[in-house]
Amino acid sequence: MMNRRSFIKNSAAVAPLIVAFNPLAAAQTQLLQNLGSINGKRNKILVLIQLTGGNDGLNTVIPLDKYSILSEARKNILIPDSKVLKLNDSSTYGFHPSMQALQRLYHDKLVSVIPGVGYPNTDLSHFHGINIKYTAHIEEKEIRSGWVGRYLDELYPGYPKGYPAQSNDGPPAMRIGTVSPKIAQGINDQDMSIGITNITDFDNFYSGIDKDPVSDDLGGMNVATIRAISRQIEIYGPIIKSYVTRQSTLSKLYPVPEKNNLADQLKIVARLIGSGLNTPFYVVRQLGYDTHGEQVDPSNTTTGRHADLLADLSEAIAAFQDDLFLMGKQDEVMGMTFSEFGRRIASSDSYGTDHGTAETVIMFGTNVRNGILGPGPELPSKVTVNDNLLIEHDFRTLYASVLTGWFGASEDIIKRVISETPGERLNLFRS
Amino acid sequence: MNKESVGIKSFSGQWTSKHLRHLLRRTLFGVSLKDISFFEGKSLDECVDILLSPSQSPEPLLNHYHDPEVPLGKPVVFSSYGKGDAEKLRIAYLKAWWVGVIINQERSITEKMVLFWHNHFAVEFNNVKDSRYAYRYLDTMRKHAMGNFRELTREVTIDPCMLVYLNGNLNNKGAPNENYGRELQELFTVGKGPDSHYSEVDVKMAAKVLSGWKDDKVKIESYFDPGSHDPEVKTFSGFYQNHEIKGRTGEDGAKEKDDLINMIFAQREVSRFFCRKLYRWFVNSNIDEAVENNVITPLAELLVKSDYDVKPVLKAILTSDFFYEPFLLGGMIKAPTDFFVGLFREFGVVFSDDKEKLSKQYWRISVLLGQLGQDLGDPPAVAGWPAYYEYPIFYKDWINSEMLSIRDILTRLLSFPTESDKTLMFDFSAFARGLKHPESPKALLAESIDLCCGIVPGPTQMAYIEKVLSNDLGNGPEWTELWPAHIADANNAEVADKVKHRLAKVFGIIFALPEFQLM
Repeated sequence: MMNRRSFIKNSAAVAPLIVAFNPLAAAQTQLLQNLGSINGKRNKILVLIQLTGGNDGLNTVIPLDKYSILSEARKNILIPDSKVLKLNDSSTYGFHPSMQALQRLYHDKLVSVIPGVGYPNTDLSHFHGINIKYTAHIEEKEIRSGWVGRYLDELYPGYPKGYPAQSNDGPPAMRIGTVSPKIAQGINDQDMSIGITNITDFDNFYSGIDKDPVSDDLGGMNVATIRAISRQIEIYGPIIKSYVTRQSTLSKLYPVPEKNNLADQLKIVARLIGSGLNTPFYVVRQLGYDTHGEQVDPSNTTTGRHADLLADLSEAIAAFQDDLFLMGKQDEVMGMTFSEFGRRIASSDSYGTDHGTAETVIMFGTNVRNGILGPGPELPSKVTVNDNLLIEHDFRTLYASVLTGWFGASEDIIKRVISETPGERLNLFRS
Repeated sequence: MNKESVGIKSFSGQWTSKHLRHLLRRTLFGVSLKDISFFEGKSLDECVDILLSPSQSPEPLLNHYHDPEVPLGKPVVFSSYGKGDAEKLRIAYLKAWWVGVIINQERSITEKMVLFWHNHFAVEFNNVKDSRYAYRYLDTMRKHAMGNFRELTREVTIDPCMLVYLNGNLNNKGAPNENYGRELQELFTVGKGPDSHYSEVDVKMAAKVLSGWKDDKVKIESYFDPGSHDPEVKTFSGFYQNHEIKGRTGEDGAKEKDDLINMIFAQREVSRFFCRKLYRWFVNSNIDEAVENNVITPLAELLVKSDYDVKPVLKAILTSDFFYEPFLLGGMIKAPTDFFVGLFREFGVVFSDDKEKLSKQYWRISVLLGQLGQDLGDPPAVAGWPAYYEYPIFYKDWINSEMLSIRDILTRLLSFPTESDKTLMFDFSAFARGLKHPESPKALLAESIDLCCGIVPGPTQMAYIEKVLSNDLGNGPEWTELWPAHIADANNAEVADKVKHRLAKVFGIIFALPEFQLM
């Protein structure tokens, strides 16, 4: 008998998500990558959105085919069937009612959703969870570098020495709004990113004279570290400023400033991209997803904390994407969310959810393969308080697939950057 | 350094003013000239005994900010829950109040420990949304500042602020909420060190033990509701020697909390985890095998021996050889509170006599502290601030590119206040009058730098600053004439203004130095 999963995998409407590792294709991407670097142009940008606290994927992109199980397991936070936002090409999934902006984007074929992303034996600690996502390592807990940082080590060998290059003067990565630099930490403990909270951050920065040698005690080492950061500010501050002033915000979809923090961050990112700053990675974040209690308003499950977060997320992404179109940069950019983990299938009595396993990843952009990619994890027919989502896709495979599919990274590079990844790759992009 | 030789041996070197400044920086927030002269001439033991005496409890937050419901000048934090946005406003001014308490701290480690506990038992006030709970929580931290770790854990477990923050108040029989049960173990007691092996079962069992604790918004306290308590027997994992906590019914169920705390604190790992946190707070972030064996292990043994009283351990740290190791002096990056609140204690900022204006000043400092990355009362998460746990960067988390530049912007703002905003400004002239030889550029610089920088900048840097102070790099009058003229006639506004500007320029440079970011 054909089960549901194999049916979906074989269905013509849904191209297979998993592609076996193909050496010929790998050789081709290597070729493309070489061409790219010959032209000295890296016009592929990835914007990472960290959903801090562990997002409840099951209430974000709701598997309607499992609705009866969910209505048992998470009765008190369940979104009424009639309120779930329907998707025109999927009868099995729908969006949370506060994600209308993202629904529009989805119908414009700009969004893909991957449910069931995680890793075996998920660490349910926030601290370890996010560290694992930053480093893309689960075995080696004390690893110091992040996956973005290691990939940037490949693209910017020797950084910061010899940079900014004339043809390529943007910082390798930028963090907006106090994201941890760990994700962009290179193998030699070099932070490959510049962080800002505001575009005026670096005005008139002064850090003293750095001619004196440093002492070889801890104080001296700290002075060396601070000098290195200062130097980066002094080099990249004026560059960032000069770019950003060339580009104003074009989209009218952004909420008023200070209402939606994520939108404020993405607005800066859009201006930097629009101005032509040559930076392949941006990392932003939205706080507040640790919804153990009062995730929903008990009197109306479509409202409450989680609904507000998702509204902000979806409005921020929609405004950002609109901005990119108006700037003519839409084909150079893709976005992807990540979270330390997902949440439990069953809700708690307190109208919330405890820490869980698989997260639901949202990607957006003109190049992503639009749709719900994959059937999503099966649920036990009778959910107990301890049941967790099964992992459908390893997040390391996902990250490796983004690096190969989007940036054209060779398998050789993947071996160094995401060494623990299995051989399969996900088919994430339009061909 | 020879780490093998470092145990918790007492400090045996010569006790100098350099060591004194190190001790004061690590135990207070910023060091004033008056602090130095108060302690100078006292022995290490005398200094530490003074620092380990508790402070007076501060007067609670009073309404000097137009609270919509509390009469002017009356206490805020015992009133009824504020309507509308009242609690938001109260929390903002409670943070301001806290900043005021730190600025006016006595010569005691108390405030540093209050912040230590807040970082350890982290809550987010803006998440709890109740200023009365927040105040009560802070009061508990202050009462136990140098007290007993186990007893404080016991209180925190049913503290109304914590009950709300980690959803303990929503943890019921049949529908456990695991949030507190998890963090109690992972972050508060046994931790996630290499020898901590508590399991998911233990998280669930702890949640069951603690089911039934509720908060009472009217009485501003917690209570036990037997009807919501899970009375079944709770069996823990092998990490806890398969310990069973007997199920209790009725009001007796409240006692299970004590069984749980006692079971957890019977684990050796608690003392090790806690001493690592103290070490990272007071000494250094890097704990290698030698530190683990020679410092953490004996400190943990001492903590257990003292039945979890923290004071003997603090004393052992502050009087130890390892605390004064030359390699470590100036090796810590100032946390925003050390950096920013410290500035106000060090450089005689003009605070208003008017209570309303004063509370506005404190409020402004607390907001700016938030921008610097340390919003007191609202750490980024239950794990506290990453500077104390984020491997391998630790303290460096305070000074990534955005934070370093914000430090620079803020100190410039306060050195050269704009016409429109003079809420906060330094009085460098008053500060200079307190120095031993303000008339000599070299002496003025040396004394100031010793006071506020963790290590002394190199000779090229010092020579440059000296040139700025001496004659503004050749563009202004000589300091050796300017200062005596100012002293001779303080009412000469033109001279006073020149002095003020020269000093602002000099300190603007100093505050931006890497060495100033260290302590």
